[in-house]
Amino acid sequence: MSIKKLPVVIVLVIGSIIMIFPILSLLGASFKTHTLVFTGGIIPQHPTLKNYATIFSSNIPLLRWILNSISVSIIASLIVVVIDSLAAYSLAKLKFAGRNVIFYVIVSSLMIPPIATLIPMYLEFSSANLLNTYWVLVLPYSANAFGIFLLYQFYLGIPDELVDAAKVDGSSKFRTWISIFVPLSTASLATLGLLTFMNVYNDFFWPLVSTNSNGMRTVTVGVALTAIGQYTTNYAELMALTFCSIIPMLLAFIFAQRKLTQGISTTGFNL
Amino acid sequence: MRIGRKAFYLGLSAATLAAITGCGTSSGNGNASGSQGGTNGSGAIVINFWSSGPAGKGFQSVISNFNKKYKGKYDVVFKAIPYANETELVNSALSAHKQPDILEESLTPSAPYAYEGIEEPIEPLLKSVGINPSKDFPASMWNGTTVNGVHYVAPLDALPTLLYYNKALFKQAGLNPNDPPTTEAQFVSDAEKLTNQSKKQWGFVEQPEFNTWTFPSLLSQFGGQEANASTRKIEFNSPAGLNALNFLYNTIFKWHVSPEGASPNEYSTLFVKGQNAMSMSGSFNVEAFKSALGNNLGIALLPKVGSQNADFLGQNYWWVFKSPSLNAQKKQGIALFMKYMYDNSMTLATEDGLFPTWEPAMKNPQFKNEYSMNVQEEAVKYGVLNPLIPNWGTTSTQNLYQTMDESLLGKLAPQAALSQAASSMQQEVNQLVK
Repeated sequence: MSIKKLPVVIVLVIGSIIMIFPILSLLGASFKTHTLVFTGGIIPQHPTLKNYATIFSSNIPLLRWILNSISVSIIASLIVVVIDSLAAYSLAKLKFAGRNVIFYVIVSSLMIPPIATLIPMYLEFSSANLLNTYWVLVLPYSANAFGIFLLYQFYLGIPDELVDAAKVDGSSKFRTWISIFVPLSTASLATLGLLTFMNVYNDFFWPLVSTNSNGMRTVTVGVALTAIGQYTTNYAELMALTFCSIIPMLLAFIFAQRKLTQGISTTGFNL
Repeated sequence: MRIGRKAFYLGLSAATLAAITGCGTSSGNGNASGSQGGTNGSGAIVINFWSSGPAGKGFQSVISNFNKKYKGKYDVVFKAIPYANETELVNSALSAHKQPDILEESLTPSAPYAYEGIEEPIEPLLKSVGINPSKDFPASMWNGTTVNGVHYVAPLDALPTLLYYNKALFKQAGLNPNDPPTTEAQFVSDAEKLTNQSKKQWGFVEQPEFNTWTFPSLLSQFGGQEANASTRKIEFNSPAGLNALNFLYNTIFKWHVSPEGASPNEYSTLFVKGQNAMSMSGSFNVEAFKSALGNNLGIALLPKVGSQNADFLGQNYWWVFKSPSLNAQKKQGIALFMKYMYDNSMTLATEDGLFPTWEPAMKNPQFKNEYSMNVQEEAVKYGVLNPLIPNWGTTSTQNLYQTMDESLLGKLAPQAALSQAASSMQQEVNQLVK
């Protein structure tokens, strides 16, 4: 390592410590007792496995909740990638009347706060009798204006000559999308998929409102309902549950880190 | 046999989608509100019961036993909902006519629904199963809980404000561990003896952000009230209110028995570490404090700081929502269920530590032997509640308690804080209840 890079490395190390501090704090607190959870430093003075023992010995269906979260996150991510990619492709490269109007309507929908759509969405799913099903956990995320905007920007940068060449070769519009646009945008699609996965996995409010039974809970809702009481919160147990619940996200990030950073650099998108 | 990569990924996606589709319906209770208004598979009438309050083992076992007893006739489907998001959850359900039949919450959230006319009067229901509310519930929890003269809610449990103290620290300070302070003078004198700043030990920790229990208690002790529920006039900026806030303020800035700028939860953290000798907080702390201090934990009534005993009660009430499916048969089931829960108050007390609001249970000798229940029973006698004004919890937190915190952090004089809070809160209450 050259001496010139040293300041950058120091800044990055300090940044990393700051970023990892909450996770280490969470991990440390999960090994403390409920009454001493806010005392001492990160490292517990008298570490205990009691919180984990309580979680795994009780009938808390943590695994079920995690599987629910993973399943709906994967499905929602796959659907988003397909729908957003098709929408972005048509808006960026196909010529049709009202294209810009549609694009601006989609982008402007990003400005509507999610809480404003809560009751209309609830009514919609209620009338379709889909509340408390997996559909209600997947469909609301399945068309994502942010993803369309992200991919639209990327597809604008793909030369029209490539589309023209495909047309000369007799390729249909759909074939052009699947043979040219999808392969060229794998990093962006992976980024979108991963961001959607994280968004769906971490969402709390919609799964809380739209599901009812214990078996249908996602992990965020299940954890909150288990550890957060009306007047008191068992923070030590909450930390242990939270740590268990973030393991899939940590693994997803570790394995997809390369694609994610590549996607961010190719789309110019900042997290 | 080799499978191509594309085929593999396609197959994986299809399998995941199929798994989801296969599980497309709930594994639980049908739609988000259970079998709304209808019956379950065995023909029993479904009663949807949501609670943002207790949901402990005892609580759930009583529900389960009720369902066993009335198998084929009634089926109570319980759903725990988070206290912090209760309003959004219930309002969403109401918008789709999928509200629960019974909702359990603290008192003031019931007010807007009562004013909107979507709650069922509860007294006839209770009387239909032999409950005499004015005799069977503590007066402090039944009287003054009407909207336009009608009772829509019934109390299920109470959480009085208590004085917790550390007996070991009392002994060290030369005080009698069985003689906790009962007056303001005693409290201040004891707190001064218990404070040892060189050891980072405090006689009391007055913590901004945590006065929703102490302030109403003290205010009432000085003969005041937070607001008049019928005229909706804010009244905490009275001389009584000023006395109450001055007491809290003085513990920090005059008597120096409490640290300045205590951080969130510090009263509790220092108490379990043996660095806070006395704490005034709700009975929800009993278990945590007991497990930390063991036999050194003392629990007593709040000292009489003002001219009379008074004690703010945290509480849970339940009410019945009107719905198209609420017929006579279902009402009967609801009434039976409520009576069953009250009759099993001892299970709730012993297993979940809930203080029952059922007077017959309080006469039970077993109840008298339960840890701290006798003190709580005494506190409930002096109980005061928040005024039954819509959205009281949110408006008081955003106006009264946040402004009060400014004062307790030394940034605003107590009188100015109360006047400012009363003015902004009155405007908000007027807007909300137009």
